[in-house]
Amino acid sequence: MNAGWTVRILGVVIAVLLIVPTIVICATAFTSGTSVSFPPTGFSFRWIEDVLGDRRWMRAFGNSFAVGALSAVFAMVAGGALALGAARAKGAISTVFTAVSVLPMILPLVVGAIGFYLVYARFGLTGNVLGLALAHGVLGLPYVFVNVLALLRTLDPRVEEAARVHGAGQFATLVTITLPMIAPAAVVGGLLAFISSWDEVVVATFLSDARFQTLPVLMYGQIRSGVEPSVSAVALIVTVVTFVIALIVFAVGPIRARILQRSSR
Amino acid sequence: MSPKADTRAPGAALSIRNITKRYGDAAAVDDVSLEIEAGEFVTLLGASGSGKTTLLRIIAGFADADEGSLLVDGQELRSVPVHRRDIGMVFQNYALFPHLSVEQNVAYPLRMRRVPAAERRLRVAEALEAVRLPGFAKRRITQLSGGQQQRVALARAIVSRPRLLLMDEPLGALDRNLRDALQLEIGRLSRELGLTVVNVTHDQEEALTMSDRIALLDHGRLVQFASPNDLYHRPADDTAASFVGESNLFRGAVRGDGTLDVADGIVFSPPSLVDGTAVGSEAIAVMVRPSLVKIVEPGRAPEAHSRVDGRVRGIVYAGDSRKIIVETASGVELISREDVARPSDVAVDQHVTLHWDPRSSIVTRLTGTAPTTPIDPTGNPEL
Repeated sequence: MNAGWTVRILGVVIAVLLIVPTIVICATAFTSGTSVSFPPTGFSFRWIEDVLGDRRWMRAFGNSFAVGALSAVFAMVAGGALALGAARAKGAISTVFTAVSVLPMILPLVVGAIGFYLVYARFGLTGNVLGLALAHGVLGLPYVFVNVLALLRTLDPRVEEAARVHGAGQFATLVTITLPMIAPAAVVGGLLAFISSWDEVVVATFLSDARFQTLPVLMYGQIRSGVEPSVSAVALIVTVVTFVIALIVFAVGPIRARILQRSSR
Repeated sequence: MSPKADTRAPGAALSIRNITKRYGDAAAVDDVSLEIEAGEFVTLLGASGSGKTTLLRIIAGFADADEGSLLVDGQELRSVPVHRRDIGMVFQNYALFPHLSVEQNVAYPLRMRRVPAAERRLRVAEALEAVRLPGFAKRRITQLSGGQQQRVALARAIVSRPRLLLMDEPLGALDRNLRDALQLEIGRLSRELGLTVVNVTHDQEEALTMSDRIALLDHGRLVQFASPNDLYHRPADDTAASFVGESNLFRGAVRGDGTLDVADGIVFSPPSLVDGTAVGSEAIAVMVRPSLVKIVEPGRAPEAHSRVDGRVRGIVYAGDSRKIIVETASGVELISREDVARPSDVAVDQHVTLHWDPRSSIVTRLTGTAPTTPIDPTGNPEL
């Protein structure tokens, strides 16, 4: 047995450990019984229908989606701006921009959550979409920053010079040339920020209340009072949404690669 | 076509006066002055580090000079921001906008100048016609070859009928055949449109082919600003002589009696070759083009010709001509270039005499750092 096989077997083991729990929980969503068990007893869509007809679940679904979408927009704007700053600034300033931008990835989530709670509570930013979207925007910012910066580093600075020399001021160059070129990278980063917001539970717990809950927060609350097949159904929905967005990310990737290839010539 | 555009003079006159740009202690551009006439095609020629690109970037506005002024039709340009300078520019790597179509790329300068859409379409079509890319309007940039991309870049640069067209090694990224074709085409376009062009290249052949005048730069200094013909036949100094065209170069000094003191057993005949102005101890260089150097058996050189003996070290074929490399007794290599169709009967290691009409050799100042034929301190030149 050579090293190649060891790596392959290790890869399969890890994949199984990662994927099987998800498959199990998703499978239990199709049970026709009243308890979560694997393998599921019988087959039905009753729990999925149940969840789709439940106003509480649907409201949480709406909240999660609104928070995710809005936080993705925040992350794209802030992460994109910081990436532009880091790419254009020289030396220490560039390093500061980078450090600030990747900090949300490194900071302990619980610490951040308490901080968000203490600060946001003063401005009425708890228990609503805007507050949580802002917090998630900060958490999602690094995804956009890293993606956009990687693309900016490969862009030929002469493309922007060409815009300027042919009559575009700084703002016009930004709007007509720079932003369209970095847009695919920003969109990929934004989608990743959405995914990270979509299943984020720690910060969301601190910034939610009885009237405002996201899907992961509500699921977590439900599990504490006993696991019902409806939670499995929600898990299935959450997973499917994540999966669809991941597919979009993979679809946007090649577009980005094409732009990189073009402009680096 | 807009009436406004018709009444405007096509290209502007550009005065570059005492432009200096320093990076730290080193001057990238050192007190360069050029008076470029409206409609003239000028090439900034030089090796890398000569300051030619820095000077072009100063004209474009991407960098500012430390000293000097830039006047376009008498107006100071240095205080004008890049996007208001009314310039068209072609970049080495095309620098096209990858997310826009061919049409949108070419229309960009017009869009920024708020030209109405109907006129924009007309002028984009005209510009694409001019660079021989009609029918490419809707294509994506990725679908074009390198040569086609550079044509689009050229169309983008001329579409707004700028006062100045700048080109930064425009043909550097293209292969030879394409380069030759585009050279002719750029020359034709700039003449037809009456554009004032400042072109940057390190390729002397390109400079000689395309330019009305060439500004030869070396280490930030202007060596010579002259027509290709003058630059080739009347180089200002040894740097110009060695950079433009192939040359055999001898360094030496002028004696008080007006004879020329160079090493290497070369008989300069007649000695009155050097005119009175060069008399004194001034360092001079004598240059003779390889194509004017004839090769004969020892002792067969005409009496009135300058000559030197040596041994054939190698024969190199280069297309229609071949280069015969001859080493003299003091170890200096000289070159004779001859037509392949009429070869002289020589072989490697054969002893020969090189000779040339003294009127075809050129005496210039010795100022540069160019590699020249060194003076042999122990030599006893027979003048």
